[in-house]
Amino acid sequence: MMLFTLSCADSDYPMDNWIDVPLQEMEPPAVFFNPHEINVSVGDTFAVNLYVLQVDNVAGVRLRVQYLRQSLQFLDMEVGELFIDAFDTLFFWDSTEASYLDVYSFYLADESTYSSGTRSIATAYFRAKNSLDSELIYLRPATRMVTPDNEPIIIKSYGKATIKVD
Amino acid sequence: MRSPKTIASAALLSLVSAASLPDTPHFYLYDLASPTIAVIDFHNQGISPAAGQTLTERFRLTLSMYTPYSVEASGIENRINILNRKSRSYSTCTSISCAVNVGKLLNVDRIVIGNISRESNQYTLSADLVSVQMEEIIRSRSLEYIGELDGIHDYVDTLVTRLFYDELNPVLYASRFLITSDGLALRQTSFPQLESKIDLELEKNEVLWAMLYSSALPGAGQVYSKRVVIGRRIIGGWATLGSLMAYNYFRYYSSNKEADKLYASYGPSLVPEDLIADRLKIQEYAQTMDRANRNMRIIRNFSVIYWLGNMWHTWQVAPRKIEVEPSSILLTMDPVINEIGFVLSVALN
Repeated sequence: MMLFTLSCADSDYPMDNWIDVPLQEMEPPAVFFNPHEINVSVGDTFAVNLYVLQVDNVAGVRLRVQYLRQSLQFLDMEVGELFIDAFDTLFFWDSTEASYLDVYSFYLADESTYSSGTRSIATAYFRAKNSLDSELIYLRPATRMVTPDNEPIIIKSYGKATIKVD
Repeated sequence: MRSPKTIASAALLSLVSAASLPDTPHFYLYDLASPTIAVIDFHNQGISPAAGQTLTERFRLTLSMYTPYSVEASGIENRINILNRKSRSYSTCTSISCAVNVGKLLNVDRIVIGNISRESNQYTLSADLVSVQMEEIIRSRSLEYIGELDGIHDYVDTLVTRLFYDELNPVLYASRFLITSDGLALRQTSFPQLESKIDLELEKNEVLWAMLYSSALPGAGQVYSKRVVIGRRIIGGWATLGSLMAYNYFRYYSSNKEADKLYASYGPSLVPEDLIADRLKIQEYAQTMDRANRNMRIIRNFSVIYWLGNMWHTWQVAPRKIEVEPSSILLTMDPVINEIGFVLSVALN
């Protein structure tokens, strides 16, 4: 009788995590912001992570982020996890140019070490100056990645972050 | 008027005579010095000579075990060159005159000639018991059997019991057959090396029981119906289906368990790399679940077809009621008439 009756319901696992939804629409390798939606109040400080998505064998990254200077104030930057285990990592940023934030991260690659996967490059800290909503976007072609052989890695998708200020 | 001494002497003589009588309640139509009989190879139609010889040997074996007859010329070696120096096929000896000649040459009291014919799955077994001295058929019996050849052995035994209804050895007979109001019924198997382990009770509704067995476990009804080989195969197929179902259910269950665990951490997570890793694993588990579930549906549908086919096959091979068509020229199935008829035959002899 077991043979006549045994069958089960099909799987039902909607992949609807709000962080994961935009990632599913991206084609790797890609760069994106995490989180991609930020709700803050005027005067609040918030952090946003600058991520690479499923990149393979990367040795250097330059990210050029544009933000609305009238609405946001850049505060600080921290190194991320992509090259955290690599040897002789170089990490610096430049925020001198108005409304642009340049992030550089490299490591001294050899034949046996490489970095791949989905990892954060850096964490940027901002403060909401007024109630204007704004976005963080990656500018192209300034945003790019290279392999240890200095071959460019073609970025297929670029994410953005929306900052909503109450 | 006789004297008391004469009467006493007569009474004493009667007592001594009575004491010397065999103390047995059974009545044999033959004396207890093992009447002799021979069985000529059955004439075959539609089955191989080897199968015919095997069934004839079966007939002889049953006859020798359960009747007081001494079966002469049994065994393949003894059958050869009994009549002629040249080998001869006795399966062509189907007439009474031929049977009587063979009986005289073998110096036996009775001789059996028979026929086994097959038409598709329907077998007809018939046998004639011939009196060599009277040169006539004492009685004839025939059976119809529908099924495979491997289930015919019991019917050969039944043919023996039908043909030798009055002569069966009561002691041995009681160990194997039941005397019922309808006649004889097999009590248990006597040749376990030749038969399956399931008894064939002729009185039961064999079709119903076979169907019930098969409905509970496909193939069991076939085994019950003496279709051991095909029955075991069907059981094996059913077991295979069950194993496949169990395997797929295990795959479904284990994948479901893992997917649930991952999905519980996927929902509230805010770390992209964890989300991506969990999502891929969840999707793999979900695919495994869906595949296993699809397999289970296929197995379930196939099982229904398999079960229905099994029931149909059981219906086809389940033993039907045996049709006895007595065509004896001297006896009928009425035990009273049987006894009278046979006594008359002996008296005429």
